[in-house]
Amino acid sequence: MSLPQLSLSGAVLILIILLVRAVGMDRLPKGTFVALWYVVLARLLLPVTFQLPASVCLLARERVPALGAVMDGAAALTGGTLEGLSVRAAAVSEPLMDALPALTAVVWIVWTPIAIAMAVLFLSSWLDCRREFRTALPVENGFAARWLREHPLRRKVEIRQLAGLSTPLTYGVLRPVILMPKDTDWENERQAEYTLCHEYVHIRRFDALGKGLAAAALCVHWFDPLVWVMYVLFNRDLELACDERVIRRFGAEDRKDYALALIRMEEQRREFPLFISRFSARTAERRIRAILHMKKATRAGLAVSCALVAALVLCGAAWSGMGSVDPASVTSVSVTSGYTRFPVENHVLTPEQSDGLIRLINAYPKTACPGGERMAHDDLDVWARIDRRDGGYYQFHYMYCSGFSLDPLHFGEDDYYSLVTLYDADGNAGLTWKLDYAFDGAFIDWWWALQPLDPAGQAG
Amino acid sequence: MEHRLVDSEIRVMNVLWREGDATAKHISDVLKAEVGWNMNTTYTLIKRCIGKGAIRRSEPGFLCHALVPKEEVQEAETNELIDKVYDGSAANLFAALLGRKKLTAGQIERLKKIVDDWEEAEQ
Repeated sequence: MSLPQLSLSGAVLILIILLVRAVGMDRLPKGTFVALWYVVLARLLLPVTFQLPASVCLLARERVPALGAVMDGAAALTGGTLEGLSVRAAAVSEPLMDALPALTAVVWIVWTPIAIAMAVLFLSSWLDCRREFRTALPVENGFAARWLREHPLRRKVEIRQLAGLSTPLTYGVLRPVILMPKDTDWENERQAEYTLCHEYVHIRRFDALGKGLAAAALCVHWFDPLVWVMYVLFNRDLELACDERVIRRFGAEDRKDYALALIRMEEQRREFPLFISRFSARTAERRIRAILHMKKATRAGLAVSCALVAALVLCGAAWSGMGSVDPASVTSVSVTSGYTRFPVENHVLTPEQSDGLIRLINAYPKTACPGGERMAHDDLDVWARIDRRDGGYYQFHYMYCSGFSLDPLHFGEDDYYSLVTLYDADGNAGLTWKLDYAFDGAFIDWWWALQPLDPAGQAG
Repeated sequence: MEHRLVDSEIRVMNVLWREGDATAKHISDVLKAEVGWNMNTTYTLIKRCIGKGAIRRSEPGFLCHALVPKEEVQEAETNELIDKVYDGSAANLFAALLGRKKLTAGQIERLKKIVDDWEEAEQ
């Protein structure tokens, strides 16, 4: 998938999460949102397509109609955005055409340095912090040593103290270190225990790694405001989920004390009071409220949150393709072509020929594409019906649409491509995916190799 | 003259006060065993002590010499770290983005009031 495609599909997922978050923030386990954010991070960072078998996709749509609607909505929203832009771009495309190579270059010339600058910024501040954190001294304290013994992890965890640090924090993924302020009151064992437990939960959940991934996504998708929103909310939700776990460990009756412990830590913070903003105060308030009003974990809540995560994975996969045709499920492939060289109608391919087409379709990246007017070049209209054992079929359509591409690698070029539409046994269309540009050339090669298709045998 | 060093810098000085002049390498070896610092960390701290005029390093062999006696050093009450890590660095931007800022007394009071109100409502 190309970068704008990743960004758009990620943006749709982010919008869905924002919606779920708005409705379910106080109702669902907080871990739900962290899990949902990880699905988005995977979508934003992995340029691969998730392959879900067609049967799973169709089954999911059949059983949960709402899911199908969400998936279509997601695809239409993103696809619609792309096409809307294409139409607008097409209107001005004439004069643009001449400037295209330059435009493509501009896209890359703008994106690359900013992405690199962001990465350097993140890395350098991380390295700065790490250099500072490494000068921390071991904590020589009976309580800390006992606590460590009671909380073994496979990774070696250390507790250290650092002068000048005002709130506890953890750094390191493989060899995590809990850093405590030098003036930590170890006599107040309750407070110390809350703090250590909070950091311990972060360590166990590899939250440091998650933050790194979120930062990476931000560097790559810096142009996408929704990814910035994700970055902020992801970091916030990590804390909320962590609080939730800590309270579950200590028991609900401890939440007041835990909330007060957090407030006390805020009080002791000495960070520069230059930029006091209501924003941070509001965040803190929300966090305290979330702790006090935490609901008991219920099976229903857990079930809903699992379902949500699964649904989002499906949506992410829906967008990114589900584009594989399972060769084992295919019974026959018939081709119709208006191409003057090989005019055929419902010509059934040999097993080798069908395998060739299926392999070809599976080998190239696909993206979801909402249905639309299918226009083919008169003499290049080739389509195939790929029948499945379950009574459904795929319709493969070579050459679809033309327009103005936003793909930076093909910026502004005619946007023709090939489509595969999924049909169930009743002939209802499921999702449609379009095949990557590179598919084109490969298909033509394959098509040429099929010369015997010509019924009159007069190829050449 | 009064010298203010943070605890980790004093830890470096301790090696010199205890063992007399030593190479940076030796200090690093000692501290690796004592507090688990790697070479870079110890060198960073030695450099900071040099910058504060607490250590003089002489060629050859990067021999370190304590310029101040133990009695003259005070442990710094420091915000230095915060300045160093956050101030002017990129971390600042992201800290701001994540709302990691100090709350005012009034805001802290509000937080406490939320807890009090909640408690009243519970009872």
